[in-house]
Amino acid sequence: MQQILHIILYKILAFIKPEMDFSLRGIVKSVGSTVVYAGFAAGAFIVALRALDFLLIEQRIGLFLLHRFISIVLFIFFLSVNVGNIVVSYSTLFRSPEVAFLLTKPINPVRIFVIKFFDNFFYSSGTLLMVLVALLTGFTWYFKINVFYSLILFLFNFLPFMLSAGLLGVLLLLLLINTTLKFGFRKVVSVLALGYITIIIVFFQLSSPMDTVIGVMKFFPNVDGYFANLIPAYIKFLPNNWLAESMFWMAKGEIQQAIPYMVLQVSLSLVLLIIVVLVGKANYLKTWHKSIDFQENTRKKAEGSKVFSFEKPSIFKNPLTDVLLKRIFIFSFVNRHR
Amino acid sequence: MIQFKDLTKKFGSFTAVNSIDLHIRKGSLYGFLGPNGAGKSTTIKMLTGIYSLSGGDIVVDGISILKEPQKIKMITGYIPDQPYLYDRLTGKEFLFFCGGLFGLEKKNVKLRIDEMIETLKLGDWLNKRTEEYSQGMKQRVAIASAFLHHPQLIILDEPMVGLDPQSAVLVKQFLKRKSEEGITVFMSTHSLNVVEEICTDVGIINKGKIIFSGGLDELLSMKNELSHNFETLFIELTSENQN
Repeated sequence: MQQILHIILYKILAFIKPEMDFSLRGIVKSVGSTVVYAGFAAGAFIVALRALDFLLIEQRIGLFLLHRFISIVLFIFFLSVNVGNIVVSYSTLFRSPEVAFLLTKPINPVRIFVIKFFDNFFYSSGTLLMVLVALLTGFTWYFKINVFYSLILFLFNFLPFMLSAGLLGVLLLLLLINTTLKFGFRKVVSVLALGYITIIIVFFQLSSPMDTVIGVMKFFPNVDGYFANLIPAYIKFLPNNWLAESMFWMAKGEIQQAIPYMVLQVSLSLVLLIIVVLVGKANYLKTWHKSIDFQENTRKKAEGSKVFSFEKPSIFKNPLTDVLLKRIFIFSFVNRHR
Repeated sequence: MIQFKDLTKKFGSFTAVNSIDLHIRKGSLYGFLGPNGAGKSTTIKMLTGIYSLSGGDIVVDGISILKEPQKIKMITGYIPDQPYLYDRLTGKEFLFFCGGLFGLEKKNVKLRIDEMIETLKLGDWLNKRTEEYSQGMKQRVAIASAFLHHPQLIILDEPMVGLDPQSAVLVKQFLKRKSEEGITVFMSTHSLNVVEEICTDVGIINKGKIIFSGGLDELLSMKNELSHNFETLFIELTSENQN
């Protein structure tokens, strides 16, 4: 544990040190990027307020329908974070020179695995996290949810929700690398892509937004209630639903109703974290080695490929003879014409 | 100190290291020579745990790499050809970081850093961020980091690549001194001059096979017998093996 804390401490130190370019250009660049990021955040905040205003005041869709839509958006978002993590984790966990550096030190590989996962999760998702926090702030601002509950919503529902997506991503990545070596990259990626498409189709088959809209609109104008029967049973087991439900109850001011969903969300992320640590402990180093072998093998094959090779092999087997004859040729013929 | 026992590394159908058997004695400064793609770096990467072994075993100071890799890492310092340093940390912070990875106390790391400043002529550079360093300075800091925990074995992959003459001399003197102090140094290199200048033992690898292993004096007497210079002897040895 001490070693993990030591690594994290120095990684934080390296992260928080400001950019060292104190020239006018550097300062302008830093100020510029801060303005752009702040602009993104402010934009997301305003969009959240406007969208909520439009849907609830102008379209009068009601709180329940609004949160069903939020649940759908969160589902797509969950899949995006999940796929994004598969891609980014591959480069941070299996191609990073930092991992190679740490592997040469007396550090248990599972520690490297966990540190690099969180490093990747917080660092690469930084911008996305910022925009989403701005959107969430827009939501809590609109419904006048106090700062304390907003923080609870963020820390105990939103963050574990994202973490679960990332953890599932890294689990899939380990599976992907191991199966790729057995069945080939194209086959495995095709199956994975097919799997994601199937999940999306099944999700929309099970929770048709059209059916939900029709179901809720039967009760118009009393559309702010909780229509439990309109939520399909399967959807109740999904983390996007838990987050949407929490937001719904918080928007209604019934915080205690939101707590069970937070417990579920945190529990899921903890269980996934334990699974990831156990799988990483058993497989990370093995998978790292397999991945390196695969990369080297691919590189060697590419080097061996003569398709784009412009090399003209010498007819002389001994390189000394080759060099000597070339020199004699240059000395006798080429230089004579100068 | 190091024993390679029937060590093999395969990448698919390509055999990068082919059943090599080597014994590197304690306190020797072993120059591991070979042309590009001969298997030098692959051997080193297996020794440092970056690559897995396809066959055989590596035993360091009686410890098998297959059974207790972490124990071997505790007594080993590794300096790669392209040192990895954390860009935003200063050299000193990086050294404290590396010391902590070996469980060293801060005060001990500080003492070691003070010694290294002197011997490796690191000077004020240690207070600057490593992103400002030249290749030579990066290599010196990497060397300092590898020696913090008093290792018994030092592994270097092409340590002279990209070094300015001043740094090269410094590194050579430092390694020679450490070897004289009893530390085993295993170094892959392209530079025949470096081998001739500082190594006590030499191994030549070509196409994944060891074609020569022995004391430097053996190689030098071979060179004298054939009235060759070192370069010609090396090319002849490796090309004979190719044919």
